[in-house]
Amino acid sequence: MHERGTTSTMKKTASSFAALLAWMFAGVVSAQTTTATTTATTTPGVPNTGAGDVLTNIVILALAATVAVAAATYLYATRPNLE
Amino acid sequence: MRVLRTFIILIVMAAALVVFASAFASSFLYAPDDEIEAPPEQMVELPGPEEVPVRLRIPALGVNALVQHVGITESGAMATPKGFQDAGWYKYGVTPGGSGSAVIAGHVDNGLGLAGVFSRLHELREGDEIFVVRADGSDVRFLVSGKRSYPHDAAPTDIIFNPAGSPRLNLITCEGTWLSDTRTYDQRLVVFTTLASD
Repeated sequence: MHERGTTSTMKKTASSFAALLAWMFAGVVSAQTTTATTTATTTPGVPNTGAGDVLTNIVILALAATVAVAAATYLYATRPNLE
Repeated sequence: MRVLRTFIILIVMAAALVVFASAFASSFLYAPDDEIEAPPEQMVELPGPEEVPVRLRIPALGVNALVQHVGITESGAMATPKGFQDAGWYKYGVTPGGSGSAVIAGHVDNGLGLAGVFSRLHELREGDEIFVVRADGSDVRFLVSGKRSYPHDAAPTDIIFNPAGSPRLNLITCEGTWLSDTRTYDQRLVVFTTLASD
């Protein structure tokens, strides 16, 4: 009974995760297929050749790396003892 | 319960790895890309395939970059190349070597603050050579005639993108202070060049 409940919860979690990935993918596709709404002009504005907010990017990378390492460490520390 | 906890931790780890990989790719490898398909009325007759630029060489800076062909963004600005080490030619404007001002843009940095292809553009001096390599393998040589910085919202686009007059090539990149609210630098550096007479 307990195993069945656990399996059901795992399926729900996996389903939610798959839905999240599908939503993210749909967003990317939508952004890439944005159609033109600009007023036509033969002289464009100057390009934005800066790459973005460096500090924000570094914080995101650091947070994601920390979470991944913490999760991996936890899994390693609580691995089943097969002996 | 233990299996469920392990499963959730695995999901969290996978999500963190996905976030890390996408953030790394977007900040280190690929530049922001908000180019759109140009409205039909902006379409111009494109040059022959052998005339389009494919590489940009700036010996004084050690630059030898791939040239992408870029259009416009939704806001009506010139789009930018998708790679930090690539340059972008404005494909709806003048072809390098043709009458008027061709424009090639390049990033000053990437999303982690590392140098982009035009990070040293300010070091160019009058008389420095710029070579544009065309698809047919021929070179078009330009000489730097001057450079100037403009506020990002007050750059003279009619001069920078001037479709008439003698053959010129204008190189453009960002400089100045990063503006978080508008997500851009507050200045644009434009290096003006003229076609070498040889």
